[in-house]
Amino acid sequence: MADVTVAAIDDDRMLLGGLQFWLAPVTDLDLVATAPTVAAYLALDVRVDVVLLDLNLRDGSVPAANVTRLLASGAAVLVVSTIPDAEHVLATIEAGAAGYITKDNDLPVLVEAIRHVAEGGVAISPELAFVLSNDHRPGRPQLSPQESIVLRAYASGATLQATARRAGIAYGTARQYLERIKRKYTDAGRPTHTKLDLVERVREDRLELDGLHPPSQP
Amino acid sequence: MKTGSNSMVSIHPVSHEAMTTTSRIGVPGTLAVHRRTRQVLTRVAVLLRVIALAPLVLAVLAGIHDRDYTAPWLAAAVYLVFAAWTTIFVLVAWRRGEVTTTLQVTDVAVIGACMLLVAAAVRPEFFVRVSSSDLEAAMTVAAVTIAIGGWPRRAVAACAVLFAAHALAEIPTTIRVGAGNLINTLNDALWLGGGALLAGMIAHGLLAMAGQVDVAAQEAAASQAALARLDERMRHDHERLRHYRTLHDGPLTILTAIATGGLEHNADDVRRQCAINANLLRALIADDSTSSLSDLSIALTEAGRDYAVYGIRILYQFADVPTDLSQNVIDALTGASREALNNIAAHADTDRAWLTVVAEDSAGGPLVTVTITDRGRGFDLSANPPGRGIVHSIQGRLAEIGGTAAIHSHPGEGTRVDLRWQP
Repeated sequence: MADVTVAAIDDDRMLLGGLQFWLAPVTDLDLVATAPTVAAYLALDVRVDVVLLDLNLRDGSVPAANVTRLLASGAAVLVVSTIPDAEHVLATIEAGAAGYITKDNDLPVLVEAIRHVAEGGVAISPELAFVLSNDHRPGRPQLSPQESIVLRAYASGATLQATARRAGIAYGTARQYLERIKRKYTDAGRPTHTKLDLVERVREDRLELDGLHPPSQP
Repeated sequence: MKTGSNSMVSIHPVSHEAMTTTSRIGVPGTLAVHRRTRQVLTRVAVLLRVIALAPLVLAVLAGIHDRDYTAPWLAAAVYLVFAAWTTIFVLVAWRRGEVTTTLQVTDVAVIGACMLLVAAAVRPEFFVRVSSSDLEAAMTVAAVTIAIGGWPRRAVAACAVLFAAHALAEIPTTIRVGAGNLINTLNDALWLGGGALLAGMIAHGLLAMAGQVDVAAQEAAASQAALARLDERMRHDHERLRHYRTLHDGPLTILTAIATGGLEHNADDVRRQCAINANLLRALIADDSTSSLSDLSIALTEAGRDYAVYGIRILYQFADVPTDLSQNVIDALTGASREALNNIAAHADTDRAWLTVVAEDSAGGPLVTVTITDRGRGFDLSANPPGRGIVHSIQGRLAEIGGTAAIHSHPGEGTRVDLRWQP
C-alpha cells in the first residue's frame, strides 16, 4: 500500500516544525506540505490524501469554509485545535471534515487518526464525541437513544470496547453507531453549507486572483 | 486606627448606595406602620361617633316624655340633619381611613349649629333634667376625632368653637337655674378638653412609635442590601483568588522556570508537567464560555493537579456546569473524584484519565454527572466486589448529599466511575 501523503495548515510555526519532527520516523506517512493559511496551501498546488487543518487560523477565515475549500481540492480533512471550540467544531464536521482531535493527543493517536481518515474513515475522538453529545442547538441531528448512550460513553473517555459493553452491543456495532452519528452531522450540514460556502469561495478566489486579500484578512 | 478608617471608606459607598436605592424603591411602603396606625386611630374615632348616638337617643326620648320640646318640628329637623351628617361622616371617614380637613370643619360647624338650634327648640329645663342632652357626647367625640388624627392646634380651635356654641346654647338655662348650670357647663368643658388632650397624647405616642418602627425597618432593609452586596463582592474576590492560585501554582510556575533557563524543556518529566498544565489551562478556558467558571470545575481541576506526581494526565471536559452548587455538594463530588483518581493511580497502570462533567436539565433541577474514566487495566467487578475503599469513600460521599455512584469496569477495558447528583 502506498504511503499516505499529509499536509498541515497551521499558523503556529513551532507546531509545524514539531509535526515534521514527529512524523519523520513514521514510515507510512509523508508530510509533503505545510502552510500558514488555506489560500497559501492551495497556491502550492499539491495533492495530498489528508490535510491537518487548524480550527482557528489567525487570518480570520471561517473554519467551515476552509474545510469546504480543502474538500474541493480532493483531500480528506482532519481538524485539529488546542481548545475544542464547540461552535466551530460542529460547523467543520457539518462541512464534511472527516474528524477532529485536540493537539494535546499523543503521536500514536494522531497517526491512527490520519491513517483512518486516509482510508476514507472518520476519526471520532472522545473530544469530538463530547462536543457532539453536548450539542443543544435546536436544529441538531436527532440521535436514537442507543446512539446517545454510545456517544456519551465514548465522550467520557471510555475505550470503544468499554463503550460497547456499556451499551450492551458488539464492538463493531458501537463503531458503526459512532460513524452513523458522524454521517448524520455531515448530511445535515451539506445542503446549506456547500451552497453558501461555494459562493463565498468563488468570491474569495476571485479576490485572490486579482492580487487582493479577502476582506476578512487584516 | 488607619486600617479601620480605610475599611470604612471601602464599605461606605456600598451601604450608602444601598440605602438610597432601598428608600427610592420603598417609597410606597416607607411609612407603612405610621399610616396603618393613623388608619386604626381614625376607625376608633368613627366607632366612638356611632357609640355617642346612644346617649343622644336617650336624651331625645326623655325630652319627649317630659314634653320639653317647644318647637318639635324644628327639633325633628335638627336631629334629622344631624343624623344625615353623622351617616355621611361615618361612611366617608371609614372608607378613606382618615378624617380630612373638609370633614373636620364641616363636622364642627354642623354640631355647633345643631346645638344652637336644639337650644331654640326646647324649654330651658330640658338641659337640667336630661343628662348629655345638648349633643355633648357628639361635641366631645368631634374634638377627640381631630386630636386623635394628630392635629393638636386644630383640636384646640375645635374645642373653643364647640364650647362657645355649647355655652351660648345653655345661656337661657343658666339664667333660669343659676350657678348650678354654670358648673354643669364647666363640667362639659372639662370633658371636652380632657378627652381631646387624652386622645391627642395617645395619638402622638402611637404615631411616634410607628415612625420609629418604620425608620428601623428601612434601616434594616438598607443594611441587609448592603450586606448582600458585600457578600457578593467577597464571593467574587474569593473566586478570583482561587482562579489566580490555580494559574499561579500551575502554568505560571513552570513557564517561569523554563523562561529563566532553570529547566531543560525537552526533558520528559518537564514535558509531562507542561502537558498537565496545558490541560489545566484548556479546562479553564473551555469551561462554558458564556458564564463564569464554576466552583465545581475549579475544585476538580485543583484536585486533578495533584495527580501529576503520579504521572497521570487528566483530560478535563466540562459542559453546562451549574455555578450555584453548594459547598458540600462540591466537596462531596470532588472528594469522590479524588478517590476514583487514587484508584487509577494505584491500580490502572495508565498515564491518562478523563474527568468529565455534564449537567442535564430535568424536572427536579440540573442532573449533574461527574465521570472519571481511564483506559487502563480494569478489573473484574464480580471477582473483586467493590468493597473496601471504593464503596465507602465514593458511594458514601455521594450518599451524604443524596447522590449516587456507579462503577463500571472489565479486565483490559479500563474503569469508569459515574457520580450523579440532583438537587
